[in-house]
Amino acid sequence: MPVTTATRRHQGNRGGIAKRTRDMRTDRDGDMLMGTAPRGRPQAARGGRGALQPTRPPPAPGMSDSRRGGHNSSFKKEQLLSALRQGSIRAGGTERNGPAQSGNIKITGWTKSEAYASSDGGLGALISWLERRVNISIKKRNAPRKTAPPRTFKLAPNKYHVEGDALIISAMGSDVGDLLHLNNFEFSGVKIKVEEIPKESEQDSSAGNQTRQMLKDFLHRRYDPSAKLLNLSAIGQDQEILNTGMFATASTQSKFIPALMKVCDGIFKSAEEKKDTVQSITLANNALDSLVAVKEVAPTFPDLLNLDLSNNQFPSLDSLSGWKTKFKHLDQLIVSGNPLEQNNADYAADLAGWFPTLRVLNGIQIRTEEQIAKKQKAIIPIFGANFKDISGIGESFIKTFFPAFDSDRNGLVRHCYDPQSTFSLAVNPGAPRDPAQQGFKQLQTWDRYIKQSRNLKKITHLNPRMNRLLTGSDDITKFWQSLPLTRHPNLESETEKWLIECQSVPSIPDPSGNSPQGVDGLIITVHGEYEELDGPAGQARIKRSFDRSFILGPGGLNGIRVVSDMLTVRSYGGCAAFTPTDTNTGTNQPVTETTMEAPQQALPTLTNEQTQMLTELARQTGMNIQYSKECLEQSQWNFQAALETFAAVQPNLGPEAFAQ
Amino acid sequence: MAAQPDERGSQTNEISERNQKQAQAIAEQFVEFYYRSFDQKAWDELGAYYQLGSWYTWQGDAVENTKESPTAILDKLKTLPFEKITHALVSNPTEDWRDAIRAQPVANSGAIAVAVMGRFSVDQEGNQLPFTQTFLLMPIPQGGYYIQSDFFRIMLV
Repeated sequence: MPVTTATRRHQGNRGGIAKRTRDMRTDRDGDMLMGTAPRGRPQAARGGRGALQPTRPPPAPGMSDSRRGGHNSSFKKEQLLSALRQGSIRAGGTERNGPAQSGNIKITGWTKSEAYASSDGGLGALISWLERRVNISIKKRNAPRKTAPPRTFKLAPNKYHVEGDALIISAMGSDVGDLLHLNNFEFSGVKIKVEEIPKESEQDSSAGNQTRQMLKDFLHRRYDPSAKLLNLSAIGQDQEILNTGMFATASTQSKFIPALMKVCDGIFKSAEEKKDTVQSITLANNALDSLVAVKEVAPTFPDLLNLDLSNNQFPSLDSLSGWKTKFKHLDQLIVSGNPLEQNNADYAADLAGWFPTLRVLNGIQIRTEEQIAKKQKAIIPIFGANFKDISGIGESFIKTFFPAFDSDRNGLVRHCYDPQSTFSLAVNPGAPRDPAQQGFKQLQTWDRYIKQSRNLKKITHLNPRMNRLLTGSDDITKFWQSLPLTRHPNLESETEKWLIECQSVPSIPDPSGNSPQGVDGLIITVHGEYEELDGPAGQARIKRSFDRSFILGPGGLNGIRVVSDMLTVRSYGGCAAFTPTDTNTGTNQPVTETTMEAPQQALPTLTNEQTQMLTELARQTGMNIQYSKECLEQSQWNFQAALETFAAVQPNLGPEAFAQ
Repeated sequence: MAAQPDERGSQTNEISERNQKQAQAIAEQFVEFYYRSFDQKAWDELGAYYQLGSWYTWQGDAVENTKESPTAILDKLKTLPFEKITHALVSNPTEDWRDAIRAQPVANSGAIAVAVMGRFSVDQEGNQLPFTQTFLLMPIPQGGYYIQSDFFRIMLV
């Protein structure tokens, strides 16, 4: 029977992975997914079309008031409203009394200077003059302390710009005063004027505040606490917005959502609160043809569950690609009523790919919750072992090797290692352990390995470390005797505990010297576990996980030698990492059935004589190994009889009986 | 009689020690390049390290560069299911990162087997997953190495 790989795929037991999947969801997404019904998808739970209703009109003016005072106003709504009323909204760093005072300085008059004639309009000269003057002030202030100036004032290019004949500088702290001090100073023959631009709040308590108040009122009207829906649909038809003139030009339209999002950011104290308060947003009926004006919605509401983009002018999927992989928890999406439906035939599949948690698209369920759970798990899919053997060599090697490593290490070295073979051991105590394994939480001690391990802090200088790499069968024998006794799981009955992969490699040195350029060999990687035994009596002390890779070439007493053998021993980590995920939900095409074919698996159970017969029959008849074997079995392994049987049945044999 | 094998043995050990030092240095250089390129998604640079007949096995999903599809591995790398990946080489946080890289010369063939232990995270997922990766580096006649075999596996899920 097969070593390990083919059967594992067919094992029915998915209990471990299913259980783990649920754990994983809790860990990754916390309560968001666990509490879906009551919180996450309110409308869907009621069997409605979902929280997003593409054709839902914006609430009529006046309706908002009744809602606000409505008896079903939720706690969150009250919080939102009270925040809005108290004006505890931080709309973007314009507070006057922040810890580091900042100010915008306007400098005029310099355009009349002689320096204005130079190619840059004297700007360069003015900047360096300002820097020099401010640095003099800084120096003066520090002079009494006789210390070096704490810093040098320098105007970074992003700190100033020119508006008409004014140079606008954004400065911090004492620099503001130092710059203002330069008012009426002479620069390049003219007196310049330096003044502070009043803060927005001082300068215009009407315009800025009015805008913010308008946005807050808009949020009042557009938030539906029962659905936890922020309705941003048909903004251009909102009479109050139209009255403000904020939607009069394309430029102000494009600033509306960013400003609104800023207000939102100011309202919520934490991402958690935001997530709980606004679960759905509709941007329907806004004639949007790109995300430019609304892109701020994604960073502001990254945990959004439901999004409605219906009845806009999005021409193609590309126009939405800015939100690809944003909204990590998106559950429902509506894009109907957009030209992209006609222009991208596969839009549904693409959108499903963009949003791995998307369950409902345009009101149609595209995934079940179970599939989504599996999908999240399968972001890193696990495929079965990929075992590409040559004539069953790798398989029979593995089958011989591990039982012999447990029972007869000396014999194993004698048979499979030669004076050029290399072996090394590394212990990785830092590897994580399997949290599900209750029984093996005991302290993992490594003293029985650590003096041999190559990756050990104590062994810092090169020589001892190099000595841990062992070359030649004599040293390897000695070393293996010093290692604890082991018991590996059965390769045939405990296949789930093994992950073995194999590939052929070219140019392995040929000890016979017949092929100077080398011959084909194999590389085999093994991930598995073993029990450390107390003594030959066989009491299991502790479980370990290991990774081991072999490079095999021809040679040795049995025709195969180990050219290189690298072993890593680590804390027990279980075997869930080897258990293939359900490939139906994997994001990749699964590997086709392993290439370790049945006939090759059958080979090692045959005697040498039988194998020869089998090979010969296959050669003479052209039948594949499996049919040849069946034919020989029917003929009681009488070669002549098998040839006769073949002659008799040949006309009835289909192409499947013959080697490809 | 008795002295001969010992002499031969110590000679072998000297050679293997020198080979070992070189192999380790090459492996460290290579691994650093590999993960840097991987994290930057510099697929073309990485793809150039695989030749015809090279294998790339990612979580058991194996692809080979064949005559029919000479860029199979490059194509595979480009379509791995994540937007962003970050590798960190850690065997044991208290130890030197180089200890997460082990190189072993493959007899006197010039090839080097490399075993790597580390952690990686993808996309916005905060949790790091431990992985092992095994490379077989083969020398190129005109100098340098290519990747003959490359096995990536997560150690724990």
